[in-house]
Amino acid sequence: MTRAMLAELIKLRRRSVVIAAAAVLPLLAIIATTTLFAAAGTKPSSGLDAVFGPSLGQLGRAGGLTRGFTATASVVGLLVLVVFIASTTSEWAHGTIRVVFTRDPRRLRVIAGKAAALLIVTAAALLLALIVSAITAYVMASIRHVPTGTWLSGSGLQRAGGDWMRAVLSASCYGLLGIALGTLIRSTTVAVTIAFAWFFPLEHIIQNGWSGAGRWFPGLLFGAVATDGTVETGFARALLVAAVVVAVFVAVAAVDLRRRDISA
Amino acid sequence: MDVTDQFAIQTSGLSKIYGGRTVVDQLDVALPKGVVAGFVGPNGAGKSTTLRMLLGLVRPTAGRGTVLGSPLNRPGEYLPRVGALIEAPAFYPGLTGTANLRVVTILGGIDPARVAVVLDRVGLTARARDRYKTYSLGMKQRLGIAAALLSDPELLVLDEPTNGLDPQGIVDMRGLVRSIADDGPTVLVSSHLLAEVQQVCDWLLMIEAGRQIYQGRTADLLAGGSRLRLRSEHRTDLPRLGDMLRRHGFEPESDGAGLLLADGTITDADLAMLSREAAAEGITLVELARTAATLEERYGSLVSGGVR
Repeated sequence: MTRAMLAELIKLRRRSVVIAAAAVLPLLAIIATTTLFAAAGTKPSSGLDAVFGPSLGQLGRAGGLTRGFTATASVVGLLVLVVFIASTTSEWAHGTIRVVFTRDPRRLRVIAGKAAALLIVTAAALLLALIVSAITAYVMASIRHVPTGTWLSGSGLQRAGGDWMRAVLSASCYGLLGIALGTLIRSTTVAVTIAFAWFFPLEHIIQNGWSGAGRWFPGLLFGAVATDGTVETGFARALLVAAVVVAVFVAVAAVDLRRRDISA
Repeated sequence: MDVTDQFAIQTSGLSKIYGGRTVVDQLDVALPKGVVAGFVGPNGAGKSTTLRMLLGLVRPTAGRGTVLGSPLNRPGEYLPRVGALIEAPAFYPGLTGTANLRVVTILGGIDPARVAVVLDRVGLTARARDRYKTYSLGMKQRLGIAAALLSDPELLVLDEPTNGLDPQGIVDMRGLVRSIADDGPTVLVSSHLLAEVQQVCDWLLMIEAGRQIYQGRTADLLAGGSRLRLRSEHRTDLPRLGDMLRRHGFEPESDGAGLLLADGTITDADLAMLSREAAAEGITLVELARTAATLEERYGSLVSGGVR
């Protein structure tokens, strides 16, 4: 698995990937953090509103440093999903899966190594986004006169670390699901279309008519993981159910990968 | 010595069926080590599917076999000693030639120093730092062969390595394959270009519609189809020449300007006798020569004759 991971890291050293990881996520973090601070009012909010529309007072508490990052992380999931799907399906599209599996026929280990490399890069990109978001938060705090005294306190740093960890967990759920879908479907267009159709409109449409959606649907659960829980479900439960959903998809994809012929 | 040690590839009843359609039908292959073998058949004959089964990419529907002495269902045992280029070369377009080969060395646990060696071997050193997507088709094929050579393989499998190449590219590829074969590995080259195979390969495995129609030495196959051609100074003498041949038990066929005899058992003494008899009949021979059959002719006769 280590070999496959190192090989994947070489592929990820491409300029386009580096630009995407080093620019897109930090840029999203800057936009989200700036918007969050610019739009913040004086009236306290709760639930999801506290994530995407906190008051100036809430921003001045411990954890305010990374509020913008948390808002980014919940959006980053879909980006991660697409990148992981495309990274997997492109192996079939380019035919490189033939080369890969004739050099290392242990298919599951190869895909596991690929997943590990992608997750490492994702975690690093999210850390960079967190740092950029924090710098942006300080700039915006000085403009909006938000107190920052508690941001670097022990509790504040703990919240920041937790926010990063939750973002990584949420992105990992999206990423592993993306690899499972990519492995099963093997077509970028079809896999991305299915994923977007489900995670964008369908889940939210159903959620409008069924209150239990937020407790069971993967996209909503992954979002709940990123935002430390929602009104419908707490963080721990969201993480557990999300992990089960991902595990089921990964298991089905693993069986398929072991058995299906490589005809690409 | 175990019998499997004599063969680089050995299969028994190897078959692949896709949705009721038999793509590979009961292949019994015994490919000796050290040969340069041509895997011949028209497009769609089942060559690529067979190679994929040998490389662990496709699961056989039936049959069994070994590659370098290890069973087909344990590709991890033999693939480190096999180099392969299956169909079109496949690499990451955004990576350089060197980086693409580095990916392969890491995956296969191969010494990274081999990258420079194989790039030099296929003549790509000057373009090694360019991205793969900027390569010409011939360069892509050569990079594919370089990747196959990375592990210094005992068995090299090349699937249609001349596909899409221009005439000079085909000549270059032929020379490259020949020079690789001189280093000692068993080489299995699939192709539907019979003239190319005839020039490079000393062993043949021929299939048609998934079924094996010949395996053995190229020379043996071609010898079976060689003929003797006789041509008289005057065309009007041909009927008399034909009568003379029939009197001696031959069955001549006319090709318009001369007569052809199957060359299965004709000895030099027979040639001398025929020359003398023709002269005695007053017929002056201006041609008395053995003509080797081409692989295309032999392949055609095998297919039409239903030989298995």
